[in-house]
Amino acid sequence: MEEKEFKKLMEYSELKIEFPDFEDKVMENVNEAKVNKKSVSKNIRLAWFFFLIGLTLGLIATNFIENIKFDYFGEDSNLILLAVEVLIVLIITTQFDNLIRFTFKRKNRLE
Amino acid sequence: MDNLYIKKVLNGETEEFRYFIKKYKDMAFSVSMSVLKDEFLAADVVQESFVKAFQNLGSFKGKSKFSSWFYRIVINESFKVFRKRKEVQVEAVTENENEPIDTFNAIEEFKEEERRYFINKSINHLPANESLVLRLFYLNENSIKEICEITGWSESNVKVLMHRGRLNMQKSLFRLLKTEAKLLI
Repeated sequence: MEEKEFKKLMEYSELKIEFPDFEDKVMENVNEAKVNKKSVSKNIRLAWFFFLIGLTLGLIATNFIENIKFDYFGEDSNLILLAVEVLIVLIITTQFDNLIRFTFKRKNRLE
Repeated sequence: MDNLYIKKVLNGETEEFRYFIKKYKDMAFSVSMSVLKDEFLAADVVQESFVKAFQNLGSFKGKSKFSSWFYRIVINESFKVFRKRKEVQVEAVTENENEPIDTFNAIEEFKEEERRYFINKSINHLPANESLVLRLFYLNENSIKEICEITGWSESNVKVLMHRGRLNMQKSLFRLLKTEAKLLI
């Protein structure tokens, strides 16, 4: 079969979407995606805001507790304070890591 | 024209995205059908691709045509679904390989609707990559360079697929017509 004839045949291979509400459905999904995009951005901003507030309050609280001396079941308060500080640092780093990952993952997806 | 609508959509006029749906839905559907061979799955993939295109429109730099960029999304999404399903093995077309195939004259005898039916049925028997390349080249009139850009395949690969696709398409069509003739007799 010649190239011209083959091209003529292939013209019949175009398919049409037979679903009448296809356009509206896509537009509905597009609008939904737009709303979701806005709400996710808002949530990320809020997450950063509360993370920073928590961090500041945590620093203030740690500094405040440091000045109080007390005995807890015979243990020195400094030891307990150290344990609490290690726990806080652990929480902060994991949460910070999650926040950074999520923010950049989303940024890369949008680019 | 596409660029004008891209700007409009990026400026917040979401409803203008309908222009792209109207313009590209049928070709995107044909492209997806080449890979998936299932109209419901293909329609879902096209829908998903439009949403993805909308979400990533800001990243479209305009280095290539919008259509090439968009069909690339459609093809990637189609192959994602395709890989999830098990590849449907295409029947090997072996019989009458040396027989002269005058399928063009034979198909000319049919009415337009029947021709459309036979051609789409034959193309559905081809492997995904062959039918995809044939549709992009002959139907969408993309050049080989553009097909490479859209699919991410090498030029030699596209040429081989096109050659193989053409042969298999003719054989598949010949077989279909032969079966039809037998049924009529």
